[in-house]
Amino acid sequence: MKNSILIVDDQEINRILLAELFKDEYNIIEAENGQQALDIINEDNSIIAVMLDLIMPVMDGMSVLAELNRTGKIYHIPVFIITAADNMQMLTGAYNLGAVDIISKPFRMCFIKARIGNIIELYRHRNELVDMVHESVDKISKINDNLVETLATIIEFRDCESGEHVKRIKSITIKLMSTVSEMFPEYHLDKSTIGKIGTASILHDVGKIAIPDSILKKPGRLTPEEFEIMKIHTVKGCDILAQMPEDIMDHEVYRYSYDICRHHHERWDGRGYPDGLKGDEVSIWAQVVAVADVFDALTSPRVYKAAFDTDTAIQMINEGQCGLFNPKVLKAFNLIVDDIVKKRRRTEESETE
Amino acid sequence: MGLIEDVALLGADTNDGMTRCMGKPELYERMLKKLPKVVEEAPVMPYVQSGDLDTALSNAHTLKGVVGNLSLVPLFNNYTEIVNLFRDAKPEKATELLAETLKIQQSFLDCIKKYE
Repeated sequence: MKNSILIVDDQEINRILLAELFKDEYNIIEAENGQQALDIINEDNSIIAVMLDLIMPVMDGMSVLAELNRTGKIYHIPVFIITAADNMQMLTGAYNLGAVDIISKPFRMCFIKARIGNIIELYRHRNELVDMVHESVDKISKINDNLVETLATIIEFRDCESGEHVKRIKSITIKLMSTVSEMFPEYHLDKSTIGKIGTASILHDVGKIAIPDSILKKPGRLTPEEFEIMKIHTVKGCDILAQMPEDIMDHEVYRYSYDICRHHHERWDGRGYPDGLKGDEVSIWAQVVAVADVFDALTSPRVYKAAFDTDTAIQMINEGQCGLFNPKVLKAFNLIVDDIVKKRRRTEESETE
Repeated sequence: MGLIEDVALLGADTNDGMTRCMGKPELYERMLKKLPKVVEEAPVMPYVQSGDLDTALSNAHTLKGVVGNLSLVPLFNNYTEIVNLFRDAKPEKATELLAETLKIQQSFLDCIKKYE
């Protein structure tokens, strides 16, 4: 598909002259005012440059520039001002709003073609580089996620678990965090942040690697002394994370991991561990992982217990038998728990096939 | 004699105009023949007379751009000055120059209309 140049001028003569200059190399799209121009830019992805008159009816060129600035489109599409105005204040304003060049009327055709051609080429290269950087960042981010997941899976194996537990925790955390975020504006987080929290949740039990096998794999109830040792997995997890090389994971994922590792056993009433934090002293992401972890632990067999059925597990959580949780998180959990259960069943069925 | 030669006699820089039209005389003629419609749609004097100087300035600015691109030098020079006078808050002087300019403009329009 041919790239397009959008020519915005209320005077047909000016549009025709510019179109004539570029029609062999580009598809030409014309607009008679700023509003038409914005509508076209929003719908047409083939536009690689805009030639914009300043003084026009309906919407002037400065308003178009302001809008392109607001939406960030100005960084991807070069905008050339075509104007008979020599008002310095107006032209400076246009540059400040991101215009790349001023083309004066009457047009000097040979200069226009060279100047516009050069800048279009420059933007094309820049946009290609930006795409390449995004691709690389995505790739590195996926590698990091896989690394974190692998590390967590290794630790789970030691705990006689498959890697499925950490994958389920990630999935439940993302779904529950998204629901909490939608239902309660005070906990609102964007999609990208929730994704990072999901990745971070995988490492919630990394500290269990420091717990002796005799406790970790004990097929029965822990003694109070053993439970005290088990509790230190939260703090040990943070110690391990603190010793990880700085660049091994995304800085934000690291920050969430550290917090979740330490606080996923805190409880709403302050009776959790290790710090005895109360209410929203515990971050919302650690609160969410706590519910996800308890639900998955209750519904999975462990060396010390059989799996509870889901209804019993839900009842135990709602009744506070595993410690008290934030009522808002519980409300979101009860809303989506059926979906969580269905998803788990689907995964298990596809594994047995 | 044709339209391009005739407007040259009235002071148009037709070499410049032809360059702007990629050396295509038919395109230049086509553009010249659009002038009457532009003039009709962007009148200046009625707005000066009604005291709407903002619209008068805006239309003078439009005409400046168009006649500049058509290389109608006498009109371009005058409309450039008229725009400056309006911007400098000298509407009386602008009006005076506009009256003169309309006569020159009419001679271009008469010339163009002969070829329609």
